[in-house]
Amino acid sequence: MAKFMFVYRDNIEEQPDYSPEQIQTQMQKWGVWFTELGDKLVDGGDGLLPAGKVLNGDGTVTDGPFIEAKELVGGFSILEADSLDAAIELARSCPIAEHGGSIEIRELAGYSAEM
Amino acid sequence: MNVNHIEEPAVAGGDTGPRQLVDHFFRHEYAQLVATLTRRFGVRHWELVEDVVQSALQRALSSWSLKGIPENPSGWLHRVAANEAIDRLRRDTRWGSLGEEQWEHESKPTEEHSFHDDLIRMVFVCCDPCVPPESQIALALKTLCGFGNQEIARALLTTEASVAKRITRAKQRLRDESVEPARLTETEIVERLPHVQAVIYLLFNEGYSSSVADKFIREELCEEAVRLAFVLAQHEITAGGRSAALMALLLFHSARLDARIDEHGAILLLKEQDRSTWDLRLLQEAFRWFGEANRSDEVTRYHAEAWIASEHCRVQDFKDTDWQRIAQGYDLLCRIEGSPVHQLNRAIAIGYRDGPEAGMAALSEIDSELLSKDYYLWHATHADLAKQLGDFAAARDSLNQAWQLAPTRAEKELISRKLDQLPEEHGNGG
Repeated sequence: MAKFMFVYRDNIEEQPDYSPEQIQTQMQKWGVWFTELGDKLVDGGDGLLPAGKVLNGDGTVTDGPFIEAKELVGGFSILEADSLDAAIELARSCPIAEHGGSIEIRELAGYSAEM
Repeated sequence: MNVNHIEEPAVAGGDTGPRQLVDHFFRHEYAQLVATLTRRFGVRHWELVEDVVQSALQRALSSWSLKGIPENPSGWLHRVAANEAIDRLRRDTRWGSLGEEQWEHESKPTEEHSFHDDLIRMVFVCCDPCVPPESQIALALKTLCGFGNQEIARALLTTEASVAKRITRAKQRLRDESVEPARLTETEIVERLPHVQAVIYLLFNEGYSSSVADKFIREELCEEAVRLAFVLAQHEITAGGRSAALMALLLFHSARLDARIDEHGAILLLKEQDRSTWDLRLLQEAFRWFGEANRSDEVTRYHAEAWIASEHCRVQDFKDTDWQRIAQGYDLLCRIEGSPVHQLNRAIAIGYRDGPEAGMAALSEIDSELLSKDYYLWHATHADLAKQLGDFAAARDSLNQAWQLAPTRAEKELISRKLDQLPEEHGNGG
């Protein structure tokens, strides 16, 4: 078993103003997805606020690369899967695709406990 | 239908599993937050308030989806929205020029301040008589019920652009008239209660009437109207006979909502309805509120209408209907508010109680040309009575007129059905 970080990227260009009811429906879908993942979900992680700064190598602080990006990292979770392919399969049923977002799937470098 | 939103906890689950939000949590929370923050920051910052509330909900979506729902989701949203409002107002130069001191004074929640109180004030702002009538329902759905423009457009069978225009115009009027939730006095609230109730009743009828096609939207509109009526009936300033009577009336109707339409969307008449599908829990609630309404000396149109509805709901079978008491109810209603439509219903009740001739006489007594010319139910009633008197030709004429005037497909179908049921004329009559 390996662990993977799911990095959720929201499409900020196409995001409409959702009505409160639509927001609740979306959240319910995430709840269903997490329930289905069961113990494959190691840590739900958290969402990230849109505002932030970047400390560059030369010591300067900028508003970050996300100003011009179409996608913004909106959150992350840690999941467990047998392989990268298995992790991709898990990601397929994530509701983020419904609102134009994408998921970056990265394997954690650390050794798992049984190795 | 759920009528106890306000007293329900925001989350379910908790001890046994992951927390879950109750139905329509965000919608109602949106309404509550807009009410609280608009009272605090003023109608002139209404747009800003809507913005920060929307952004708080979005933030909740991105965080709670992953991290789970916090222990006190309402508090979380309130804190996030209020902080952002203050940040943005501080950045605003015009706001800065007002001075912190004045702002602190204006925005400080008072001692007796409560969320319930904020909401009721916002109800009175949205139903202010200065708001054009065609905007009131749209504004109420947006502000008091947390509907999105698209959802309102679907509910009111209009376009999103038209909804947006109505809401903008309504807000402009309220700003022009300097209506402020914080400034409403108790006397003003009491004085305007009948008008506010009329708007809530209108909202309910928007859902109850068959002009709204989608069953779920219909139910939601009715549910929201009941929720607002409940807010009035629970608040110390607006509670009392009037508010209890409106609550009872809406619940009597709500209990029969499902039974009123068959699986194909056709309207079922009271005598055709399967009474076993009436919602007993809602009926119980309705009778409880009706009892409450009758404890006061005041008698309003809602008392009379609830009386009539309670008589229908009291009997198991249409043939057991006590038309004497129902006719009495309409007599009362016509004395309080003798609208032609009420008189029409009174004629129907008299027709059942005393026979078709008496019904016809009562129908012809109604002094309203407009009603007999343009209102399809007048013609449908005329047809029913003519049929009972054996004048099938006149019945057919009236049904044809009613069909022409009926506003919706469901109503036209109902009339077609009646036309089909009419016996053939045998040439011996007129």
